[in-house]
Amino acid sequence: MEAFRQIGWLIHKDLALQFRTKDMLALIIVFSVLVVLIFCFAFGPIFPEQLEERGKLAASVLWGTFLFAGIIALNRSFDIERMNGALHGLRLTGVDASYLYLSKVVSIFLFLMLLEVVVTPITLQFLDVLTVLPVALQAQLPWLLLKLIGVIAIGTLGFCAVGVVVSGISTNTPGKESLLSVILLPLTFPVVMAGAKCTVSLLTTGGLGGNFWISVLVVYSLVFLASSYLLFEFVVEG
Amino acid sequence: MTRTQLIGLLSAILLFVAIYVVFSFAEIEMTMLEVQKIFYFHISSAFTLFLAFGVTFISSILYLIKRRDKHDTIALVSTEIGIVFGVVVFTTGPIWARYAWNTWWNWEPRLTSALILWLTYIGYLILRSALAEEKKRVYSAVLGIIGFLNVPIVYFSVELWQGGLHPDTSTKMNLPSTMQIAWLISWLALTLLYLFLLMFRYRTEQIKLELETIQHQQMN
Amino acid sequence: MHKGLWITVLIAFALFFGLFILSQIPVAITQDEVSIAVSDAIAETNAQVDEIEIEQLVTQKAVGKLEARQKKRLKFLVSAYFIIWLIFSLYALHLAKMQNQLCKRLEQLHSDLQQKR
Repeated sequence: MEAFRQIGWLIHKDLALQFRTKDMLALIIVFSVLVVLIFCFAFGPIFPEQLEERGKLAASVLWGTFLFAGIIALNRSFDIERMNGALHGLRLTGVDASYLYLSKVVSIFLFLMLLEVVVTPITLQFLDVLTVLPVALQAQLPWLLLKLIGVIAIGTLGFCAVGVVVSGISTNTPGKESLLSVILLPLTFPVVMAGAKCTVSLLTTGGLGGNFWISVLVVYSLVFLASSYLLFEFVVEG
Repeated sequence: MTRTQLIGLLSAILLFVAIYVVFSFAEIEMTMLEVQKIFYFHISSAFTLFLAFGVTFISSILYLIKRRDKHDTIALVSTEIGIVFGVVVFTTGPIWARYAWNTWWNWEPRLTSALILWLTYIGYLILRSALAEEKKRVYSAVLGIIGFLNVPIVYFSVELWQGGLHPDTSTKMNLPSTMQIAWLISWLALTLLYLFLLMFRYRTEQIKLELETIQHQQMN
Repeated sequence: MHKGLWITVLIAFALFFGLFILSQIPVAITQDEVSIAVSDAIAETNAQVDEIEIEQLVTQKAVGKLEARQKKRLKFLVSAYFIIWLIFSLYALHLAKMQNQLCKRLEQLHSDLQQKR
């Protein structure tokens, strides 16, 4: 119980820091919308007619945007911790490194989810995906969106699981932003692959197209949550 | 003659034998004809690449447990050599693909996962050079472990993603015995070459360390 | 560390000798290849002359085609092995050079230290 209480307070602290000044949330949402706009200008104004092509386009735009936004959020979150030796202060209170890890994952996950819930409908509207959906799917649109958010949530969790460790490492270097992306992007290929595939089949058929891709997402998240949970201790010790 | 030199000599001889066996002893494959001979060194290099990064993975774990500088040095050195073998894989691969499928790249799962692994470990080296002296050992060990854990997931997902459109391109099972021998010898030769480079490079790193300690002493 | 250099040169030599052997690969011609080349050649020489002349022409063309194909294949093969050789030699030379420099600096430092004493 003590553990949950500590993690809860850590999450509370992180979220309070994120939302006290609204500039970070505003910045990252505007950034994401701009990325989506760039994709739209590159592919538009007339998007591919076929549903499947349109779905693929939407999936690639969504996941590309989330990756970039995620990298910014991770960098920012650890910047705050390192800036005035806040991480050292936290460690001095005797908080376990693994709690620190879990709370970071949860807080960045929640932050990114908020962003994604806002950006996903905007993207779908900009790419005009909703009008080409089959009638059966249009009838149950909220349910479809909910499933989409669910898939995105699992992918984001996997991304955060690795991202927290890697950005914990890369904050110690000069030029952290570029370095984080070089290290983190190769590690997140499975998330992008599986997440995009799930999104495409959701947008075209309304189902997941078998359990393969969703299980890749889940396995990835679990493997990296477990291993990073164990390894994070070494990251904060230095 | 030191052990390193002995292994170097052995690998040189074996490389010579391998090339002789590949070109003169192994029979010529009937669909790719002479071009198939790229296969022996291409696949062996890919095996060595996985071996090298596997060594990085294991010595990273050992470093985190035992905290001996030896393990960290081995991880660094092995990564660097693995990247060199990767360069071999990713230059001979396209030549093969160009002849076989008339394209410079195909998304064969093994090749793709090797590429992702390769990119990850290039990131490892970049990170290492950017980190401060006292922190880089632990941090790069963490990355060395995470990067390798990614491999099975990447392999599985690339296989799914690629959907089995291409036939299994490099079957090793039904090779005629002469080809198998040629492949085994070239594999052994490259593994020995890896071992030699590892020991040689390890020595270089030791000299560097010695140099640094002497300079440090002089400063004080 | 001139001994390291020696081994490097040996490896480079072994790989280079491999390239020499490469020029002596036996010619590989399959039945399929021949029949494709012959039928291609027949299609291209649609001359209405006597049979012996046709046969000569066809053989000439077919041989030319086979040779061109093999030349193309060898180009792929030679370039692949040349690249392998180049990469390993360059890396080995780089290592040998680096170690040489480090050793020299170490020796210099040692001698400097002894002079000071």
